[in-house]
Amino acid sequence: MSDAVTLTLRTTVSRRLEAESITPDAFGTLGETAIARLPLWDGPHTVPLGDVFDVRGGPSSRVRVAGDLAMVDALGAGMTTGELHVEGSVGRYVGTRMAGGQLRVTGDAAYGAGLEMSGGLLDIAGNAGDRLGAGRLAAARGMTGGEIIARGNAGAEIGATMRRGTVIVLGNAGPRAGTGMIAGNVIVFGSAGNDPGRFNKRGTIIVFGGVSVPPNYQYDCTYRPPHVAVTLVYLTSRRNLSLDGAAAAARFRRYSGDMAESGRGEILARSDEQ
Amino acid sequence: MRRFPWARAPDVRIRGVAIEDTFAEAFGMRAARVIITARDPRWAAEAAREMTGFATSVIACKVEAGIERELSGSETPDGRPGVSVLLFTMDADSLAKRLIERIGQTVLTCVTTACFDGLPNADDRMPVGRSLRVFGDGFQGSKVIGGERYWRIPVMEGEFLVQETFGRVKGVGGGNFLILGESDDAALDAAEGAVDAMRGMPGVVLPFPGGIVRSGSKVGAKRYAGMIATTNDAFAPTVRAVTASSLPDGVNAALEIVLDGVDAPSIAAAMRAGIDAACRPGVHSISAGNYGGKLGPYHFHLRQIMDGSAAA
Repeated sequence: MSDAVTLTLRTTVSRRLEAESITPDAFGTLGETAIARLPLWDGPHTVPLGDVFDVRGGPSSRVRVAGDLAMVDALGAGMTTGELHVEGSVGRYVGTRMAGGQLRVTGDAAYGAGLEMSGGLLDIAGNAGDRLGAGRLAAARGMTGGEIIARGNAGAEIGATMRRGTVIVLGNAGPRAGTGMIAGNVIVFGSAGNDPGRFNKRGTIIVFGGVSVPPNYQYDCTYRPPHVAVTLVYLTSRRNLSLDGAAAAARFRRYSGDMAESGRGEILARSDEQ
Repeated sequence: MRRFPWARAPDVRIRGVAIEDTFAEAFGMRAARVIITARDPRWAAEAAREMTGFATSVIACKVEAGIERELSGSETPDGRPGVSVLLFTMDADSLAKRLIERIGQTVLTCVTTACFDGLPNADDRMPVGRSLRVFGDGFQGSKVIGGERYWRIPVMEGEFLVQETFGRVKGVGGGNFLILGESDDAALDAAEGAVDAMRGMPGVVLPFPGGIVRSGSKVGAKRYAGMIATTNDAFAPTVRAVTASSLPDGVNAALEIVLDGVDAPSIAAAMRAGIDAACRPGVHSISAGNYGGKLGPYHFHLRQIMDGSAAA
């Protein structure tokens, strides 16, 4: 039994590897040798984890992975417990189908981070790619719980088809944020790209920077949404986000939409009116 | 020193005021803590005062309630100033009903307020916001923030936010002590001092007007069969000559401080602070109300409380 399992990349990875086996769930019951035998997928073939990573420690549900992992996909996929700390950038689908625990990435995350996540915390210190916290393409339902924080910018279609949970982007978000949202929250502290909230049923999109509200949303009023204040207190106190102090007192322009759906979703755009 | 069982208990005095060798008898109740926030302290206090109005005794008010303390923005879930309110009932079911009634009529109606649970660690939950949400007539919505669900009820001012569930814990009601004064003014001055010392102490409220009771009661009646409670004639000075009075010579007024708390140690701590503040010139002695120890499971022995050796 050790305090943590540490995986250190032995060489540069030039071909995409799928690393669904790297989860605190699996490492919590396995020793160093057994961990090294776990499979990584290189296309249709498997490669022992120990051939790619130097493995130290175990069993432990605290896992640290170091190296340039930009070509390593699906780290922490389906994890339900423990801590996975990735030092550096990661490939696609980090934390996909994650149901619990904490997954922290110190660099950037590529396409599909937190895809169809249902619980836990995914915290990305850098930028996130497209479809952060979304569903698979054509899937009826995306994220169903948990929290995702991208401390940099994020790509297109974040939170697409999400049913529950919260996606937070401290920088700017790309186009079509919250497309097909069923419910849940997308919070963008920078600006949001074109066409947010299309086909939104009951979801909330909060934008502190600029946003161009689609024509199928209708203006309601300018006010201080009380749940935004609770959210900000939660993020500063529990998630250690340092936010603009004036944000808590800000007013928002509320737009109901998508009127092509039930009109019960909303875009809250920070207003300069005080 | 050898102690003899027939020896009288030693006289205990604080600054010349006698602490009687007796105890306050208290009962188990169900308790909730409600956090009311608003744009500024004025409106949080307005809502809290309304919520705790007509809530002195469960005998007729169905609930006992009081303001626990004011809260700064750093202590509330939405970062705004607030007030913490404690409510107590005799049974679990009625506490939920009282919360729904009182939040619905006094907080929902009050401008700029929001309402949160102040007992987040309580496993026993009451569906308060879940019941109040229907005021939204289908236009309400909910948000889950940090694992807690909040209901957003549209109102003419904007939105009223209320937490879906509120915690319920086993509390203690009926902690008390009596200030026996040489005059009415002396008793009131001491009682006011006691209340000032106890206000804001965590986990305790004083549900009566200004925290002070002049109409202490006994269980039942001597003459009226239907009465649940009648005047505590043993401590009423004007009938000293015609009843079995408990008032010592020289006492011309008695005032009672009643405390409800989330637990016995909170009540004991507040009683200690209150009794100490009440021991001042013009006060003859400090006593307490009990029923011989037969009714309530919590016994707050005054002398043990004042020497810090026990709580209930």
